Amino acid sequence: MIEVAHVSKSFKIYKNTKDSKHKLRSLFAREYEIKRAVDDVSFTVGDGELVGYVGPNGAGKSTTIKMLSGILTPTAGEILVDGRIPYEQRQENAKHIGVVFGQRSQLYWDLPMTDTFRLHRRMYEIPEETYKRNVDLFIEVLQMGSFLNQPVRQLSLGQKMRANIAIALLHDPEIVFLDEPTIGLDIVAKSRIRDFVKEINRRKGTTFLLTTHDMDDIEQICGRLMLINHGRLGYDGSLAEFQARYGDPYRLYVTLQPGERPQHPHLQLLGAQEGRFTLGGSKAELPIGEAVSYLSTHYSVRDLRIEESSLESILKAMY
Amino acid sequence: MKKTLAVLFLYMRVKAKGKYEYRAAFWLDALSFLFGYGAQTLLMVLLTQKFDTINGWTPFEVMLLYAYTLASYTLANALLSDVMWSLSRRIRTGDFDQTLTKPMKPLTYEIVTGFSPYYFLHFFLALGMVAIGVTQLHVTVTPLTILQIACGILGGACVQGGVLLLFASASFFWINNPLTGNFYTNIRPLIEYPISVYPKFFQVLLTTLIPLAFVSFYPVQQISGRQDFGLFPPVVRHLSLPVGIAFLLIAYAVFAAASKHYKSTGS
Ligand SMILES: Nc1ncnc2c1ncn2[C@@H]1O[C@H](COP(=O)(O)OP(=O)(O)OP(=O)(O)O)[C@@H](O)[C@H]1O
Ligand SMILES: [Mg+2]
Repeated sequence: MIEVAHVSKSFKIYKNTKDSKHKLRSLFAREYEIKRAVDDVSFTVGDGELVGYVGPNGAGKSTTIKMLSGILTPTAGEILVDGRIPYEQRQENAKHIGVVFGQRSQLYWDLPMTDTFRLHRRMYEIPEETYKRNVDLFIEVLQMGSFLNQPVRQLSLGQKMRANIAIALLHDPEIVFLDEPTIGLDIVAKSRIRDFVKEINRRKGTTFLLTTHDMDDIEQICGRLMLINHGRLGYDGSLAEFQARYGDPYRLYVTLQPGERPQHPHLQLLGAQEGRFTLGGSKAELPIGEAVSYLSTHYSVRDLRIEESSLESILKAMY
Repeated sequence: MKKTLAVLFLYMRVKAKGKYEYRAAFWLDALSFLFGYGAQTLLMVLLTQKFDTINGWTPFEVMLLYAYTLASYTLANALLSDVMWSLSRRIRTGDFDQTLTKPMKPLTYEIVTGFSPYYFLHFFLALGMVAIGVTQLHVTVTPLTILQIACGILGGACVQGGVLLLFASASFFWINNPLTGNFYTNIRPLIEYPISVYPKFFQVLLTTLIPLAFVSFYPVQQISGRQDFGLFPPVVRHLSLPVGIAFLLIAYAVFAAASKHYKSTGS
């Protein structure tokens, strides 16, 4: 469905000359440096997959998505999206994909959503039946009924985001790219969008590639995780495996009877304060269950709290 | 093409609906325009009483130069003005990304969503001026004359559209493209006078590389019968339409090639 082979994208960054003597010359021969936004990235995505594409700010996520949707041409490498080269068959590719950039709106400022729907229907030549079915479905699942007739400029951020997602999916694209679809949204709005993505994937088998900085998005939607940093792909595999591999360490916070002090060759004492101890362990050496039962049989445990590393904390350590 | 027209008409319909809210603004706009161009027209007519000739050109011929330029400009502007104004901004901000995700040619999309039928108001005013010029010059109006005028104005619209498009294409390379906005409006008066008053170099430039002479200078002579072609053969007066179409096609090719250099913005 999506095939990316050794793709790189570099940008020329022109330097500004403050020196007015050089300013004129810099109009013609400006100095520049090359910025590698995406560096030799390869991956494939199969039909109906839900892929989370994560990485720190400036890692190259949006740049990748722009190449996949035909906005940017790669500096090197090959891309096939549903058998098409996006930057060469841009128009044809556009008919089969949906794109949402969370920080940008593709709605028409003065028009209400009802009109925008109709415009896109014409633009993508969507059959009447599909159009009706999708509009009804989206209005219901994304709860858009209340603001359908208001001009877009009067909509809130969350309403606009839902509208943008609906517009991008109106023509039943086989592949959808969501670049930060939950940015700036409240918890309820986020979960509404997550449910929507899962629902569409289940119903239509749509492939989703989404970027986000909210790890709950990934945990709740994606089966697969791709990690990019400084333009290079790090991890690429299932979410469960990622957590098993990197989410190995855990912490225990225990409160014991005064005078007791926990000791175990595989539990590291990280902190102690008035009978409250912080212990660090590794699932491979000592599973959490065994650690808990060891503590409760050898000491009189008054309180116990377990902290497993969240996706967020794992990533924080990796960035 | 069918799809493009369908989108265009629907867009105009829904836009017109939205314009209700801007109705006051619209009428103010129309009024200010009417005063602006009205005053200019009046000035033109008054001037025809005052001066004798410019380089042999009679006042009403000069008025025709002005009217041809304006008529074809408003025609080109109806299609391209928003593109001119907004394209460089959309490229700078990265909003042009949206255009590239649509299953349409980028320029078609920009034109369709920027199209403003209101500019046609200006066009009819300019046509009125053409009519005044033609009658004052005692040209016998035959169907052929009307065809010639139409082709002249259409050709001029293509030339000016091409220039607007070329200037807009520079935005793909220059973040702050100085050629958009009022730039063209400021150089347009050049061709509202007989170009034979300018140095030879300019005359050649305006006939070849930037063929703005085909907007007014040559097609007006086709109607008025004047023979003032400088270095060029008299046939140039008949060539506005073919030159315009060729130039527009070249400009479009340049735009298409330039758009490959679009770099988007970080997001
Ligand atoms: N149009 C551009 N011109 C120059 N440099 C760019 C451009 N777009 C992106 N970059 C650079 O490329 C790198 C990757 O940017 P990109 O927008 O892909 O990051 P990202 O992973 O989406 O980050 P974020 O999480 O902050 O959105 C950054 O260093 C950025 O400065
Ligand atoms: Mg980004």
